[in-house]
Amino acid sequence: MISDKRLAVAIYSVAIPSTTFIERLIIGLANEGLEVVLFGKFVQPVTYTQSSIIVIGNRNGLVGLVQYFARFIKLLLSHPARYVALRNYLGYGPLSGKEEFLKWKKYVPVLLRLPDIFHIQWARSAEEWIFLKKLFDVKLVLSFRGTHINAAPKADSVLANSYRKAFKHFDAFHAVSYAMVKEAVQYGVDESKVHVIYSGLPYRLLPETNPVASERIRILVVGRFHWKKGYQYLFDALHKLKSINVFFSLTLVAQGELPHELLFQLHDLNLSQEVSWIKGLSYQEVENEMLTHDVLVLPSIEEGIANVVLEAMQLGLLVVSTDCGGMKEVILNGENGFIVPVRNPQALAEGIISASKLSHADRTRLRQRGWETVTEQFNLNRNIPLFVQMYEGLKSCA
Amino acid sequence: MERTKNLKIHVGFVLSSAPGYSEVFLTNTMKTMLAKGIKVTLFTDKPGKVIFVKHVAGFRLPRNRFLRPVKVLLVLCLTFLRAPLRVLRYVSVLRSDNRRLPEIIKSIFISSHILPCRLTHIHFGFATLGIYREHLGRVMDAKLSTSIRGYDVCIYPLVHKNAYELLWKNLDRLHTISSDLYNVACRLGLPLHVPHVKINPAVDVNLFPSLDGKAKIGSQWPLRIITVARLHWKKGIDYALEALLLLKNKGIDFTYTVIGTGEERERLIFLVHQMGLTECVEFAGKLPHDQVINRMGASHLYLQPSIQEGFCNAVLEAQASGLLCIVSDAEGLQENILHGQTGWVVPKRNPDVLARKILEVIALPEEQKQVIRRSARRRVEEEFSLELQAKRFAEFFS
Repeated sequence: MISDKRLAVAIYSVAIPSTTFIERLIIGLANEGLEVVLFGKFVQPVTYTQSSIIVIGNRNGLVGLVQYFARFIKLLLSHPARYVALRNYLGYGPLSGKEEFLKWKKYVPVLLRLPDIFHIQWARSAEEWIFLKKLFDVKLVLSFRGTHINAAPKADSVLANSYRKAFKHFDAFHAVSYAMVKEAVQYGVDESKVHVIYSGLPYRLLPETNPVASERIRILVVGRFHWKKGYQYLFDALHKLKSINVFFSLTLVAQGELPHELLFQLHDLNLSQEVSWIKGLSYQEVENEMLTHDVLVLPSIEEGIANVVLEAMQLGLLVVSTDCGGMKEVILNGENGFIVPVRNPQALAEGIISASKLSHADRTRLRQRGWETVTEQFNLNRNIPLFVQMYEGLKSCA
Repeated sequence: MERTKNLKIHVGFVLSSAPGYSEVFLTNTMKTMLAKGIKVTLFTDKPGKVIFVKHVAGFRLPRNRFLRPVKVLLVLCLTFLRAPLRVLRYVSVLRSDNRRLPEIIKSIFISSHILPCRLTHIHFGFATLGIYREHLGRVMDAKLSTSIRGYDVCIYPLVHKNAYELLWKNLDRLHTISSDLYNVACRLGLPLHVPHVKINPAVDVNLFPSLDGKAKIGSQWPLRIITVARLHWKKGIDYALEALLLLKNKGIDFTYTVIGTGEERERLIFLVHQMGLTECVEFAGKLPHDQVINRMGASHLYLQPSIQEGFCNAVLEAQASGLLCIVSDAEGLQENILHGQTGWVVPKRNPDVLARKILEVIALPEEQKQVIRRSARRRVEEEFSLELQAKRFAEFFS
């Protein structure tokens, strides 16, 4: 299957466009000379300047139906054997039912353009693509990111079993942190196949300007509303700060509506004056917020490695993070930020106080160290070639 | 004689859906009213299966946005044909209240199943159901009343300011399940002159076995702790888990069973994994009532760590079943349990205090525990019986 021509890697992340991480990976791989094929469902229009990025997305509605039909006819005419092979493997065709119809809608574009390597970004999708390996010898790669590995399968034994069945067919795995590998091995992953490649940021200089001193601690939190973000513990910590007369303000940047749970908690703990909530911001706007706050807090219960922490450290914003997921691989307590135990409002409150009481010299040192950590270990220019190496390794195994 | 008088009363009980598993209170209320000879019709917004009372479901909007105006028009015409004078009167009242046309249409549509009926009383099971139905009483020559529940006054107004302004003005009577909720409603602008009646939830004590065979703490280990609650953030089960982690660290041998299901299942199971409590904690899911009684009977200690709670039927059942109850101080729970007499009340969101209280309670001499158990059961028999509830509701609607 794999020839000497330019290596074609398919990235499957369900939605097109995907998250910041994955979009950076796509562009980075294209810049390294790979042909990158994107499969998935369009959620927004997307354009790339790189000609080696080929977007083969599915659309919704009537247009999607016509597109599906056209692709299906093309598949029958150009690769009838592929259709027959998959139909026999699945035991159903596209007209067997609504669910089957939608599954084939996903499969047909991939059958039309079989890549050398199919890189699935979210573990939940792993099982349904095993046929690519079994029938067409496409190399399968899976990324271990976030809740799909470290939370969802714990409460869902069916999902956990599907992981155990699916993972043994994969040729390689990418983990966003070493902590994530520990989680993944519970589902029968062969550790020797795992490549830990950190997410990377494009290089930039450490901004010189330090936030203007303020009477109150200006805390920034950026992240979606999800229980694993641990905002409940942060609000409990803020309540403790308030009870000992520490002055602070908190800006919470998150998409969507403030959940009832948090709204009630703010009201219940009398924190409505101190906490303001911004309903989603662009990357640039978040950066501006980072430059005008004293500390970024990550109160999460579980994470891979939080991108927002890397961005804050690169901009010289002090970080107080819980010791969840791979955060300890980024932050050394007191060296380049602060790390506190998970689900512990008292420790979180103390962490925020420690960050605010730093002397000018210590603050400068921590900012510099934080920036160095990101530049050395979470550098896009250094990490993208590691993905290429992983893919090349699979090619040489073929 | 009294029965003949009551027959003239016809109460329209308005709910959003047929009372479910966690709404024992509503079912009991209607059943006891029927038993007292009060005619009851249940009006729900959503269809559902109700066997014990006459049930009229409202019209629902179709998903297809093109069909929606057609259905609305049909329903308006139908309602006009069934009750022309009332509809005209309703429009006139709404217009004099400066309601715009879309609001008038909405008001008629959502009450189209109620308007044609002859009722002496219209009672909203939740205050939120009275919004856009504030004038129904005047239009239908019926007394308008509402129950206020935890969600109504503690959560909904945080998002919708002044939501009840009009409802308060049009109410003839108000029912509260606890004094605390009434005070919250007053802070939300409920005029003091609106008559209010506190009728607590009730349980059928006969369903619970006598206390004689009740398991004694210390005679059997592990300590069996139980909570019956939906897996919802407001039940505060995560705080109970934190407290139990502290107990485990102190070497206490216990099991914790949570009966109920809900949207926070994944979060809670994750927490149990992260805390290393998988061996001691069981999420038993939703169980039939007889099994709940059996499980309660086999336990030693009941926890209700809620963050927000109107009153809580499960705590009444726990007391009836002879469990030692430790509850949080969320709203009505402080009236449900008399601290130090029928159980113990601890501050909410405070795992340390909860853990300490559990330790104190299990260390009490058996005689003292038995005194608490007996007082709790006696108080439930005397103050929270179905008979008493029925009598009070009959008075409420007379």
